[in-house]
Parts: sequence; structure tokens; C-alpha cells
Amino acid sequence: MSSDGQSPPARREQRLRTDVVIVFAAIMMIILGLLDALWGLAAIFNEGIISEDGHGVLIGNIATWGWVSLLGGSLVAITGFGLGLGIVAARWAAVVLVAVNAVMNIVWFPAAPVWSFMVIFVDVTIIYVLILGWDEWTEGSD
Amino acid sequence: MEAHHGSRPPAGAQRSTWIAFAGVLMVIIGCLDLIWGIAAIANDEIVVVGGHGVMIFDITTWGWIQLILGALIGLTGLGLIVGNAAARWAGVFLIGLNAVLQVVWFPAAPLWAFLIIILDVFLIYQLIVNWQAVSPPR
Repeated sequence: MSSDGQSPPARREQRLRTDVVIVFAAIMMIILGLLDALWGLAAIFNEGIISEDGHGVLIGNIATWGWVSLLGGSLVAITGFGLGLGIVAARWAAVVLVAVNAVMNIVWFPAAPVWSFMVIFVDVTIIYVLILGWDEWTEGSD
Repeated sequence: MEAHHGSRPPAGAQRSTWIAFAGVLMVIIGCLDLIWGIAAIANDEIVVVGGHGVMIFDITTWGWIQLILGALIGLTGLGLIVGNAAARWAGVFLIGLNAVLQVVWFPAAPLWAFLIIILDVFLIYQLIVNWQAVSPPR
């Protein structure tokens, strides 16, 4: 990386909308958010269907966490849309939301280990893509 | 991340992205460990997922160890985010220790131990491989 690169603001703004890495992150967030929301709905309506071998959630009850998952998933999906549209404020919101989502998915682990595993894994992947795409996003890639 | 209008900071941007990712991941791992530890202390049965007990001692003991280690890892992650240089080596040490200690959880909850070890290894990779990218100012 050279230290003399000058990028005019206009070019930077264009990158902000077109960078493919961020588009990928946005799509991943929308998919994950919808998955979470559907999972939450399922948990609200039928507690038995998501519990693999009779275990409950880590704390509280399944229906409560179903609501949390529904709301959290919707927020993640909406933020993903915002990210896809190139809204700058969506960046940090996305990192924070996805990180919180990863941590909160621990409560599902006793009920559905593989689900919890998958969601946390995808969350970390999204954060990886989001933060490491930062450079190209804000500074221009070279 | 503050905006540098016009000129690009020499290595600052590079540094902040790599370290920010490592810091965020470390905070996540720390929180997961912490909650897992609390759950193990409060309710022995709930953390036994698809397995039996822990490898040695008992679940409550390891719950406390996990709780303390998770808190330390979370704080170290915050240190990384704010750019504390000492937090890097501390991070490698703590995360390495965390990865090794997960083996005791494996009989109780194989998939959980698997997940945490993967995240730990991934984080150590980030911390060490990008060391060179950060240290010499080009």
C-alpha cells in the first residue's frame, strides 16, 4: 500500500455503492435475518418442533426466545437491505447486530445444537466479510 | 473509524480493519464462553448436549474456569479494538489456552467444543498472520 494515494470523495462514494464484498455481506445478512425470523416464528407457534431431543433453551423458555429471534432476525434483514443500498450508518449497525446475534444464539444450543452452530458460524463469516471489506469500501482498493 | 479526507493514512486503515475484526471476534468468543460458564454453574444438565460429563473434575468447576477465562478474553478483545498493543500477545495466549481447554467440554457437548475451537483457531490465524502486515510501517 502506498501512502501517497489520493482518492477524491466522488470516487469513494461510488465505491461505497458498488463494492461486491459489501453486496455479498448484505445478501448474507438478508438470508440470515430471514432464517432467524422464520426460526423465531416456528418457536413461537410450536415449541416441540425446534427442540431436537427434548432439551430446552439455555435460559428462559422457547417462546420468549422465539420472539427475540423473530425481532432480531427482522432487524438483521432490514440492516442487510440498508447495507445493500449503501447506507453508511448500516455498517456499524450491521457489525453490532450480527455480533449480538452470534452471542445470543448460544441460548438455542441445548435445544438445537446444529442450528446454533450454523448461525454462529455464518454470523462470524459475515463479520469477517464486513470488517475486512472496510478497506476497499472506504479507501479504495489497490 | 474517522474519515481521512483526501490522503490515505500510511498503514492505519490496514491496521484498524484487521485488528477491529480480531477484536470483535474475541469479544464474541469471550461472551460465548462467559454465558456457557454461567449456564454450566447454574445448571449441570443444560450444557450436556448429546454427550455425557466433562473429561475431568466436574461441570461446575469447569463452568467457573470458563466464566473467568471468557471475561478475560472479552476484556482483551475490547483492548484490541481500542488498539492496545499488549492485548495482541495476551490475545494469542488466552485464545490458545481457551482452545486447549475446550477439550474437556468435548464429551459433554461435542459440537460446542468444535465450534469454539474453530473460532479460536481462526482468530489466532488472524492475529498472527496479519502481524507482519501491521508492524513495519511502509
